Amino acid sequence: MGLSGSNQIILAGTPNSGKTSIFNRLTGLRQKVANYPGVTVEKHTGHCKYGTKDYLVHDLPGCYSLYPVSSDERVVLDTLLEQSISGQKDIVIVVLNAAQLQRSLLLLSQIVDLGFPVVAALNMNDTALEESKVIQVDKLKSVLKVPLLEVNGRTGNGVKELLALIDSKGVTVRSPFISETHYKLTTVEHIQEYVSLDTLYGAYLLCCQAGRSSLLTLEAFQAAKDSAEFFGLRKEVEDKQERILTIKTLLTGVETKEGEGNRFVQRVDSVLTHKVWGSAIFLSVLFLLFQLVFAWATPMMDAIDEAFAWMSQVISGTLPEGIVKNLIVDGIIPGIGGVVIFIPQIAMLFGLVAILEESGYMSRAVFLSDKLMNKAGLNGRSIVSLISGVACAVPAIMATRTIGNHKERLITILVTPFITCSARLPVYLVLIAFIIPAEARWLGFSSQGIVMFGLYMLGAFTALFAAYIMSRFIKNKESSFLMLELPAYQPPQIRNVLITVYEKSKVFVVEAGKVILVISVILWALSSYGPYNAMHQAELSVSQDIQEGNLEESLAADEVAARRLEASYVGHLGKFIEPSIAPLGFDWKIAIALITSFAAREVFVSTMATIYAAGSADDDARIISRMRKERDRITGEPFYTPLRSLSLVLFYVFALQCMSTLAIVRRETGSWWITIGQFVGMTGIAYLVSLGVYQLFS
Amino acid sequence: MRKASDLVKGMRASVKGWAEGADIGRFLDLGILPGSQIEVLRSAPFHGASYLKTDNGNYALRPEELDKILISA
Repeated sequence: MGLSGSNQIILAGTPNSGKTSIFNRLTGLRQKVANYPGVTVEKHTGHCKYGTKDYLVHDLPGCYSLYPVSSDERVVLDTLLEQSISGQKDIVIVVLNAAQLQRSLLLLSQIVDLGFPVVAALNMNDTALEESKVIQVDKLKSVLKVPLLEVNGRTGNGVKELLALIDSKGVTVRSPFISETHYKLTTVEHIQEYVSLDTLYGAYLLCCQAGRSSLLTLEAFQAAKDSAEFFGLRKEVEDKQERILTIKTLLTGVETKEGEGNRFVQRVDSVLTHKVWGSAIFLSVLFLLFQLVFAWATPMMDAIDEAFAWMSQVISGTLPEGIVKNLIVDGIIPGIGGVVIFIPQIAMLFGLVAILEESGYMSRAVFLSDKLMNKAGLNGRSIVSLISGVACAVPAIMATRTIGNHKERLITILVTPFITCSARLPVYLVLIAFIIPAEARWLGFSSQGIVMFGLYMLGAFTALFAAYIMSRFIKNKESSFLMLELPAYQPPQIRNVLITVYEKSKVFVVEAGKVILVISVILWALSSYGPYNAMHQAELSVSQDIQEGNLEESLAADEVAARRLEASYVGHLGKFIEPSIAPLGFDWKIAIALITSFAAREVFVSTMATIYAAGSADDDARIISRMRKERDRITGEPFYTPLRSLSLVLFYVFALQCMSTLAIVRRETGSWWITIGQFVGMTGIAYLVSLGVYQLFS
Repeated sequence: MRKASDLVKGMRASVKGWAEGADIGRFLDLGILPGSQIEVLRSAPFHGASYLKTDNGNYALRPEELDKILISA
């Protein structure tokens, strides 16, 4: 970065204050998203230029006060205190929600009292007016005694002036709202010295967070603590009440309310949060979301698929034969294609979710679904992930970011891959043909269709049941609460929506893309290469069969591919693990498909096509007819019995056969242990279910 | 003392204080203070959250959270 402390700006504000709009106005696309060290809270930073100067803007998570209740909010206090300790305090822009002035000023007063130079940005004047509140801005300026500017995140008005004010060094430190002497307690003084903080108030806040903040361990706090002094909720409440009282006094005459408040919100909400109509509308919204991600993204995904196939072909024609060509054409290009193919779904999902969040509807959706989700140990917001998981678990898991509670978010991440995603569909379509004949009917419905529906239900039920079980066992670091604000409705800002879509796609490509690319190259190498003799033998055996008249020449290419796959490292690996999956009814050919479809479940179909020398993977009927010809080595009966196929389908219902999901879980949880645990757990469940079903009925 | 969870739809009441174990800090954050006027407008399906209208904005609260708000009779 190479920037001096004076060229950095911190942006703070309460949730729904419009802080993000101001941040986007300031920085545009010059943003970077990372994680705060040790926690999975997104850290947004961005650059903005004023004159010749380059400012680094640091957008803190939204919070109501500096008494945090979630890991998001904890980051705000920790960041401010770390700066206080290092003695490098940046200017803080506190975005004030004009419709919720009293609440916004609680946060502002706390930041001022930590000794930060603060400038107030009064936002959303339009909404305040709709609520029939009138704010005397000049009066507010004079009572606050901090520089205050009116801004509008929607139009960008006032944002330039904000920078001009900061640039002209017009922002200074004002005297505290609540005098320092108020916090003069023995313990606080000890802690102030111990962590070398410059304000007593900072030490006071830290004392209330002892053991929860990385800056003060419980042991250190106990050692410094005066036994007579009690810290905890009571100290927090005392401080807040004092501040609210001070602010209320300041605001007399500044804010006047005329009329009955916002009738528009009430009129809309009487429908949108209605038990029956509201729920029906919510289900329709979820259905639309699913349609967007599932159906509308498909043409784009097909186009990406074709584009990459075309690229492989073109490059294949220009490069000389050899390992480099194979690596690029069959390893790297499909690997990159496997990353890019997710972008339409991610963009669609996050575009719509951002619109729902921006408009204020998302809070209503949480209000409606909280009870149901809470029973399963999840959060009202989990429903967005679970539903979009029907299309793809990758964007669905990325969408858990909005779940504030650590435990509820983790459980949502862990159970979302149980939901039947679109990649399972091709696998089911092939295997279902072996379970139930296509012409079978039950009450006039296609039995295959009923089985398919059952598989979807099984996935959804497992997700909720697993969530319920896990919620009993995972310890909750934070209390589960709803206490959710239902903000005024607003037209979503296209600018904010597009920036979210761009950021999310970028994060996926950069962060998860690396892992996906590496794994796909490894899988390619394993299935394309093998011990030299074995591979050589595979090709020789085909030419021999042709010469002896055992094989038609037109089928040679497919047969070579099949025998090469058998001779490859993956083939060896498949034979190696065959004994362990034999009790499930699987042989080494299925083992190969299980390994290769770790890239993505649908690869099962193309692997089956290669193994059974069926050529193209696009022809389900041909693959199925080839699989039907497969005979049991011992009995000579058809190999793919209904039971064996059911066992295999059930394995795909439960197993985490998807490297992209693992890559995104790793990125979202920041832990390889959780990722590996999830993979092992889901594979274990899949193994046990398939084993149970196969052994019980055979 | 009556609790906010006793409120019938459409009835207004004034906040008096909090019951044992209330997350008072969070109530204060949201501007639900002693003296605030509150009204339960409706509740979510399956005895879910309540839609609470206050003079400081609208909130969704779980029944057990409403239990913690004491109101004037």
